[in-house]
Amino acid sequence: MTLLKNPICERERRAGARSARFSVFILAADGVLALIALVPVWFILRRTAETGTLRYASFLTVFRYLSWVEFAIICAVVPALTAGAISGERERRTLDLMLTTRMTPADIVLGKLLTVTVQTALLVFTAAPVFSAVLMFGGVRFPDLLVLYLLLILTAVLAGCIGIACSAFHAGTALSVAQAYGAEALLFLGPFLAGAMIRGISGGAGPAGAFLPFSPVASFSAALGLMTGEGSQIASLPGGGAAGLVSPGALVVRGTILQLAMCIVLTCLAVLGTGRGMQNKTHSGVFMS
Amino acid sequence: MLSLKGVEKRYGSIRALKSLDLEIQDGALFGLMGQNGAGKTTLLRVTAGLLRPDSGTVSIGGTDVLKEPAKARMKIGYVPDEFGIYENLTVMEYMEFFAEAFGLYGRRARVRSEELVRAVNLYDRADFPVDSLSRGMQQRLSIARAMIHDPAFLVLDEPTSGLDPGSRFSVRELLLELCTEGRTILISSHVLSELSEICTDIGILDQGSMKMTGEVSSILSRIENSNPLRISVLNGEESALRILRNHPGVRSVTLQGKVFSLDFEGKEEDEAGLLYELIGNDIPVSGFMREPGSLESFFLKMTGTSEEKVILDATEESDL
Repeated sequence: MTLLKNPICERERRAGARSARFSVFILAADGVLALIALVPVWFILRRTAETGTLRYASFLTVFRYLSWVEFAIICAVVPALTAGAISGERERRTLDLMLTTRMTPADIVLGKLLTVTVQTALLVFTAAPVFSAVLMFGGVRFPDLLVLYLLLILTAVLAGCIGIACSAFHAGTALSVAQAYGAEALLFLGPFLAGAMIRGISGGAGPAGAFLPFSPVASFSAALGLMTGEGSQIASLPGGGAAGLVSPGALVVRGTILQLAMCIVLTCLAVLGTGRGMQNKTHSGVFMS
Repeated sequence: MLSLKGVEKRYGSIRALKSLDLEIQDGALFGLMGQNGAGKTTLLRVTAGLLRPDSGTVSIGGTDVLKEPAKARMKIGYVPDEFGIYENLTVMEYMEFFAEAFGLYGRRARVRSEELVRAVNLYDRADFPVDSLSRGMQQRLSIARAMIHDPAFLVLDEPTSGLDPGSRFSVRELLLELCTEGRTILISSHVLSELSEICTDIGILDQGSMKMTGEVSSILSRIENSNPLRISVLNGEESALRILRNHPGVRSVTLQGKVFSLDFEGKEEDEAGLLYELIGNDIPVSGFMREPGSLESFFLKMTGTSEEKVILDATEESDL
C-alpha cells in the first residue's frame, strides 16, 4: 500500500473537514502571530514617521520573535495531535479492525504521520502572509524563509514521531499525551541541561555543546541566527556556552541529520508498538478470554 | 477451511489455550461455546491473525496464518465483540474506508460498499453518521464491513451480545444467509440456545481446551439418549417399580409422587418394549417420555458448571 493511497489520510481528512476544531485552531494561531507581527510593525513605522529613520534590525527582531512563537505553537500542539493516534484507535477498538485488513502497522503509522505533517504544513504556510508583512522591508531572503519553513515542518514531524511512538505503546491516550510532552521536553531542552551540568562539573572546560545538535531548539536557533545575521542566541542559554564547538551552520546540518535519524527511529518504534497487539497482548492490553 | 494444530497461547503464567486442535469444514457454521474466561476470544484472535500463538499452526483454506499473514487476511472477515466507531464518518464512508484498506479504490470501493450496505438493510441509513446507528444496526454494519473483501471465512466474536431480540433475529438470519452462500463461519457465544438454532457444528471450549466438537444434530441426539426417561402412572406404583427394577436397561429409578425418573440405556425400540411391558402388566401409564435434550444441559455436564450460572448468563443476555 503506497503512502499516497493510504486510506487513513483520506479518512482523517474527511473527519477533520466535518469538525471546525482545526480551522479554529489555525485561525487562532494565525491571529496570535498577526498580533505579534503587526503591532510592533505599526510601532516601528510610527516611530519611523516621527524620526525619519527606519531601523531595519527591528523588523528582523520581530521576524525572530514570530519564528519562535510559531516554533512554540508547533511544539505545544503536535504531540497532542499525535499522542492519541494509535492509543485512540485502541480505545475506539478500531486498531484490530485495521490490522485485519491489508494495512500493515507501518501503513497505519505513516498514514497518521502524513496527516499530521500536512496539518502542520497548513499551519506553517497559512502564516506566510504574516511573515511577508514583517519582511516587506527586506532582511531575510526567500530561500532562507523556505529553510525556516522546512525546519518548522521537520520539528513538527519529530514532535509528531515522539507523540505517535508514545501512543503506540499505551492503551490510554491520557498517559500517552503526558509521556509525549515529557519526552519532547527532554529531547528539546535536555541537551541544554546536560550542557549546563557538564559546564558546571568541568568548570567550563568540558564539551558542553556536544549534545546540542540533538535539540531542535539549538538547530532552529542557529538557523535563525544565520538568516537574520544576528547570531545564534544559544550562547546566552544555560548549557549553550560551548556551542562554539561547532559553527551555527554545522549545528543546523548536524541537527537536521540527527532529527531525521530520530524521526526514523521513533517511527520504527511506533510501528513495533502498533503491531505489538499482534504478538502478545490484546488490544486493551489485558488478558481476554 | 480452518485447521488449528497444537495451538498454545500463554499470558504470563496463564495458559489461555492448551495445545488446541480444531478442524472446521468448508461451509460449516461452527459455534464455539464456553464460559467467560474459557479462551474463546483468544482462539478467535489467534484465528484472525491478531494474536501470535506461542506454538502450533493455524491455517485457513490452506494458507498458514503465521507464515503468510497478508494472504490469510484476505480470506478472513473478522467481527470483534465490540464495534469500532469512527466519529464523523457516515455509513458509506466507513465502508469505503475499509474497502480502501483492502485495496479497493474509487468506483470499485463505492459499488462494493453500496452492495453490502443494501445486503444488511442499511441503505436508507447510508448517509447517517456511524455513531448514530443503533447497536443492532452497528452489528449488521460490522458484518458488512467484514465482508468487504469477500472473504470465504468469517470469524464473529459474540455477534449478538447486547442486542434486542429483533436485532438478534436479523443478525442470525444474516449469518444463515451468508452460510447458505457457501461461506464458512466461526461464531462464539455463551447464549447456547442461539448456537443450537443456527450452527451446523459446535465445539465446547473449557479452560483453554476443546472438550468436544461435532455436528449439532448428532450431539443433540446423544444428549437425548443420555437424558432421564420419565414415566407417569395413575396407580400401581409398587408393581411398576418391581417391573422397572428387573428391566435390564434400567440403571437406576427414582420415584416422586406418581412420576418415575429412570436412568435408562437403550434405543427407542427398547423404550417401546418397556412401555409395552408396563401396559401388559395393567399399569395405567399416563406419561412416557425422554426428557428433551438441550445444549445447556450438555454444556453443563461437559464443563461441570453450576446450572444457576448459565441460567444467569442467559437471563442477562435476554434483559439487554
